[in-house]
Order: sequence, then structure tokens, then C-alpha cells
Amino acid sequence: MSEELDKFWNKKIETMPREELEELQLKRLKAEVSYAYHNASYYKKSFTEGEVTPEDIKTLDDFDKKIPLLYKDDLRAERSRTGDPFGGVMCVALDERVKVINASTGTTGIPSVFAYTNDDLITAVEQETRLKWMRGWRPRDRIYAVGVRWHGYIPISATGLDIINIVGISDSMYPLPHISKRHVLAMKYLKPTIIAAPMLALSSIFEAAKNMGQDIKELFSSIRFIDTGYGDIVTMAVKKRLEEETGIPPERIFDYGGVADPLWYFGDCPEHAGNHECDDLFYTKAYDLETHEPLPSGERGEIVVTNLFAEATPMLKWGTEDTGSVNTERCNCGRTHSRVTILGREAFAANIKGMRVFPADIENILGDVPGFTEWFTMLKYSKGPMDKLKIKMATDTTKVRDIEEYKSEVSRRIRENLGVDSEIEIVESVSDLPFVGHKVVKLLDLTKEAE
Amino acid sequence: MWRKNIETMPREELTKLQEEKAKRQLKYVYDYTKFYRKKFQEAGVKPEDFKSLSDIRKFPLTTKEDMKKDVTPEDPFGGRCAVPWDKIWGVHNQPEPEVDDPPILGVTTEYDREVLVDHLTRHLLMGGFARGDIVELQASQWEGIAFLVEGHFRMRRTVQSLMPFTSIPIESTLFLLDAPRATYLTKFFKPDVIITTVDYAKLMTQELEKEKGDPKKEFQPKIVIHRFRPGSPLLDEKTREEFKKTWGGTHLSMIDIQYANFYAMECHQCNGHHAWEDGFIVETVDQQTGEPTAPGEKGVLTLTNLWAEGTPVIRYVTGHTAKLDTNPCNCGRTHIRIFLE
Repeated sequence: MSEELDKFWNKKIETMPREELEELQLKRLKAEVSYAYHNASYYKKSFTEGEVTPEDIKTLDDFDKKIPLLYKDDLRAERSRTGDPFGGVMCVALDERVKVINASTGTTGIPSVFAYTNDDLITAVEQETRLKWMRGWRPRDRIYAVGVRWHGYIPISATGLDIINIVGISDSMYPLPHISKRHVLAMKYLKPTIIAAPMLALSSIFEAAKNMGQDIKELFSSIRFIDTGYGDIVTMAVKKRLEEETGIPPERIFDYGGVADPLWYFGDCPEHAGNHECDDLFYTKAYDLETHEPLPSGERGEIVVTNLFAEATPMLKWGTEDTGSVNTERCNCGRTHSRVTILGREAFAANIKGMRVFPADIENILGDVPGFTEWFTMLKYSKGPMDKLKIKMATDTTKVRDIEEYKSEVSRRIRENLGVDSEIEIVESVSDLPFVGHKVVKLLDLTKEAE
Repeated sequence: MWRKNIETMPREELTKLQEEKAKRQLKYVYDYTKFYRKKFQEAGVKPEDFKSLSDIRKFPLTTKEDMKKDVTPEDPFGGRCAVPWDKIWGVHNQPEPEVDDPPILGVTTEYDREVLVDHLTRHLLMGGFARGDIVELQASQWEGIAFLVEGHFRMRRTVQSLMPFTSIPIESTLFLLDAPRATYLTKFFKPDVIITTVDYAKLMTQELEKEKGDPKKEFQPKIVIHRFRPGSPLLDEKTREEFKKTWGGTHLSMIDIQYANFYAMECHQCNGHHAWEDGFIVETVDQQTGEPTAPGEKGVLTLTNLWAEGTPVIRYVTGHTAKLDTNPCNCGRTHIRIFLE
């Protein structure tokens, strides 16, 4: 196989000229809009309220402007009104043809529910396979996959093990800091070639390895790729820190993420210039945070995703509540599909005197600070704009000479980069920070507790 | 029943079948694993020495300590793996929360999966699962039961591909943190079958109590299967009665021993865990002497796997104290029943 062919899983689609791709998107979009309108009570209602019918959608522009946005809260409201767990977006009868019912992790409260039919799974697996192949997964790789049986995991495991024919190395425990010895041992004995794990899992493995006196660089010597992200934003700072620990350079560290409800996933290619998505299966655009108008390629706004294939629970114009940009320029890797860059959750941004600060911004600044363990929590202590940023950060204090001096150095860097004042609190370990599920809370809202 | 001819097979036929399979399996492990060749040689036995079922006592017992002995980074399976890497579908770490160094690793091949799917389909149908049900499965990401029961994709055989159903996957390792989400889904969809463990089921009850909910009304479970695995207690009679009162529905117990690829489950008679003897030789042995104990007498549960390709086990000592009953069950199944202490 030529090197050029080996680069792509589905070359025809992945390198399709942009105009053809957009034609395809429009064709599928029209069909999906009409399907959702005629089969889901929620869309019938929201279209009627928005005074739009499927026949009004003739161009992508029509879709951007006329179809109402859809948020988790809309479905929750519909759910409490009607008692339908799917909030009125389910388009098929709930029988054995529905293969999986799942829910998003509910980081922000009550979970939202979605489902896969068999065909949904097949398409989701096609999406996953392309994204994995792009990141370098190949047959006979031994993958040490640390994930949970949540949403994305279902097509993910099927893809690696059933389609690409990778050998799965598995563990029945999720690596939280106190139970990671097993993961270190499994890696030591089985020498996987790929490790796929969220950041927290990786740092738990590092911590356990250190406690066991195991050299981390040696432990990772068999690893070709680190696959991380899974909900956290992988900035260059994060990649550099991973390199410091494992000896694996940023070029071999891949970001992977997605949003569960519209079954939408993305990952970075060997160019590492933004995360590719599958444009033939999704239609994605950034929308202005204030005016909710669609933005041109590359501009920062809320990411809005439309699923173009879902049979069970179609999501039209799903507001991800994530801020970022969508770039439709052709990538150097040859793929024509758009690239998304996610900065963080709009809900997780702190408003300091009108300036929005995202955890990813902080991470980029703190990345170079010695002793910083990559885990921190921003505190939100006021409903309106706040005077200054309050941050709790986990720091390896053995690498710090003077705590006070260290704090003011961090404040200085934040001030230099973002122009806001900050107050820093140091904690010794990541476990001293607040958790939701398996994620460190990046922005802790204290105003809710006060109520 | 999923496979009536096998599940109700008369004892003599069953014994004959076991003997045939054991002859082949003992030869297989002797020929293809360093571990058992050495073990058999040390004990002075050859696969040919097995002529009838009672000859199994001539073969040495396998303990966890034995399995760990020869594990090195060069041979992570300690000589127990009978297939080359190319044939391996998945590698499984120890199911216990605390692992040893070196770890005991297991391997499954495609064929291993197929047999396990057959065993589990029989178990689930025995429990009352029916095609088209909604099944909520609380397991860890990579536990055998997770990838054997749920059909993640059409290419592999799973219980779901044989008997289509709608699955609700719940990750159990993070259940403590994730209990609200699982509880919501259970409330929303009222699954016909919930595969859980005693501890998780109790957590769900607590979660509901927070909002003054009644499990009987909110979950309306038909069948609840409580899985006994490392770190999760066995469903005893007292707990079963409690669950019957608070949750309603039928509560059944299941044994999950990953090292032997072994599952056993109660039928609706709730009179012992049914094992599948066409796949295993089930014995109890004396804790001290290692001699087999008579049926009905207490001993340590010991399992011989008669089909596995990846990492088969011969007379694996599970560490659980049990009594056995070879009499046919009132449900019509003739296979052995296990009573755990």
C-alpha cells in the first residue's frame, strides 16, 4: 500500500473537494430536517414556534438563519412537561431495534438522554474509524484503553477492536489516583503500543508509577501514541508536560474529544492544527455568543452541531455551550473536512470585569510554571462580573522554594497575558480539588451554594 | 431455555461429554502451554492418564500463586497463554481492586468469546430475560460481561446480537460518583432486567431516598441479577428478602469468576447457582488436603475449563467455600448447582 493511501481510511470522502462536501451536507441536511420534523414532536413544536417548515430550507444559509437552536435545557423543560425521557426528539419506537440508550455524563446536572439504532451505530463506527486511523491506529496495535462505558465508548471500542483489528488490553478499573498501581503493572508487562486515556487517568498512572519507583519514561517506551483529551482540552502546554513525564514528543500526542448528545466526535491529525471532524456526517458552525448569528470560518463563538444521520435522536443545531472556532480551510494533511478548536465551556468561563477567561487560557499560562501539576479550579464567587480571578492550583511543592513568591509569580504571569488580577491558593494534590464524576471541576460556582 | 438439549441432558450423557472434552483440553494445555506441561510433569501425570471423570483428581490443582510464578515482562502470561498474539482478541487484567506484582493476566480469543456468549445467553434466558427487553448492565468498561452481553457492533457475536434487546450501559467503577445518572436512567426507562451488584443496588436505593422516591414505584424491576465478583458481596437470603420488600421483582444471584471465564446463576427456584457442565468440570476440594470432597459436602470450589483457547485453567482453586448438588433442579435443568457459603 502506498504511503498516500495508508494515510486515509476513506480517502474519497476525507479529501472530497469542499464544494462537493457542502453539496452533500445540504442534501443530507434537508433530509434530516424533514425526517426530524415529521417524526419528533419536539421539532414539530419548535419549528412551528419559529415559523419555519422543512420546505423553507433550500440552502445552508437558510438552515443557519431559520432553524431554532437547541439546548440541553430545552429538552429538560420538554421532559418535565411531557414526562418523555427523550424530551420529544426520539423518532423511532423504543423496541429491540434501538440498540443503546445512553445519557451524557450530567456534569452540569440532570443528564440528557439519547439513543442509537443499529444504523446509527454503524455510522458512528465509520466516524470513529476515520478519526482513529487519522491519529495513527493500525491493525495489530496493542491498545491500553482507559475509558468508561459512557456514550462515546460504545462505537469507540467497536471500532478499535472489531474494525481495525487492534488487540485490546483491558482493565476493569478506572484509574483514579488511589487504584492506579494495576495500570502501571499492566503497561509494564504487556507493553502496549497506544494508550488512550483522559488526562486525569494519565496523571494517576504517573503518580502511581512514582510511588512504585517505576521509571515513567521506561514504562512508556513501547508507546507509539498517546491519545488523550476525552473531554479535557489538550493545549500545547499539556502536551509539553506529557512529554516531560513520558518522553513522548507533542507530535505523537493526539487530542480526541466530542459531544455525546449529537454523537459528534473529533480528533487531531498528524499536522496538529485543529481537530478534524467528519463534515459528511455533521454540519458544524460557530455562532456569536451574544447575537446568536452564524460566524464565518475561523471566528470564535459557540459551537453548534447538527447531526446529519441520526435515526433515533436527531439533534438539529445542538448548542454545545462550548466556545471555539470552526475552520473550513483545507488542512496540510490533505483532508478537506473542517477543523474545530475548542476553548472551553461558556458556562465554565469566568467573567472578570467583562473579560471572559477560560480554563484553557489559564492552562496555557500555567503550563510553563515549574511544579504546576496541570490541575486547577477557578472559583466563581459572584453572579455578575468579578473583580479578580480566584484559582486553586495543585502544585508539587517540593519544586517550589518560596510559596508566597511562587503565588505572586503566577499572578504576574496571568496579569501579563490576560490583563486581570488574580488570587492564587496552592493545594498539594489533585485530590484536594473538587471533582464531578471523573473530572476535576474547572470552574466551581460558589454562588449556587450560597443560595 | 436457550439450548434445551444441553441444559436438560441426562447425567450419564453429560459425564460422557465432559470426559470427551476433558481429554482434548488436557492434551491441548499440555501441548500448547509451558505452564501446564511443567505442572503435569512435576506431578508425574500425562493427559493420557485421564480415562474417566474421576481421573481428574490425578491432575494438580492450580492456585493464583502458581499462575503468578513465571510471569515476567518477557512472558506476561507466565507460560499460560496457548495462542500467539495474532489470535488474541483481548487481554484482561485482574478483576480485584488491588493487584499483585506480577499481575495475573487473562486472554480471550474469538472462539472463547463465542462460547461465553452461549453460556451467558443460557443464563439470562434462565433468569427470565426475553427478546426486546430493556437491559441495564452495570459493569466496568472491560469486564467480560460487558463485552459479551452488549452487542456494540454487528460484527461480533454477543447476547445482544443473538437475542436483540435495548441496552443501557452503566459504568460501575465510577458508580459512587455517577449514581444519580444511573438512577435517573433507571427511573426513566424502568428496565426489564437490571444486572447489578448488591452494593450498587443499595446505592441506588439511597439515591432515591434523597428525593423520597420508592424503588418499587420508580424502578418497577422485573428481574434483578446481583453479580458476585471481587469486591462485591454475595446476595444472601437476608439481603434478597430486603430487596424483595424494598424493590419488588425477582432477585437472582450470579457468580462471575473471570480467571476461569466462569459464570453461574440462579434460576427462579433460587436453589443454587447453575453452572454449565458441558463447559466445566466443577469440583469441591478439601481446604487442607486438596482431596475432592463428596457432593453435598463443604469444600473449596474448583473449576476446570473444558474449551478455552486463550488462557485455559485446569482445576483452578477459586477460594470460595461451596457445596455442590448434582440432582436435577425443579426447573428441569440437569447441570450441577453451586451453593456458596
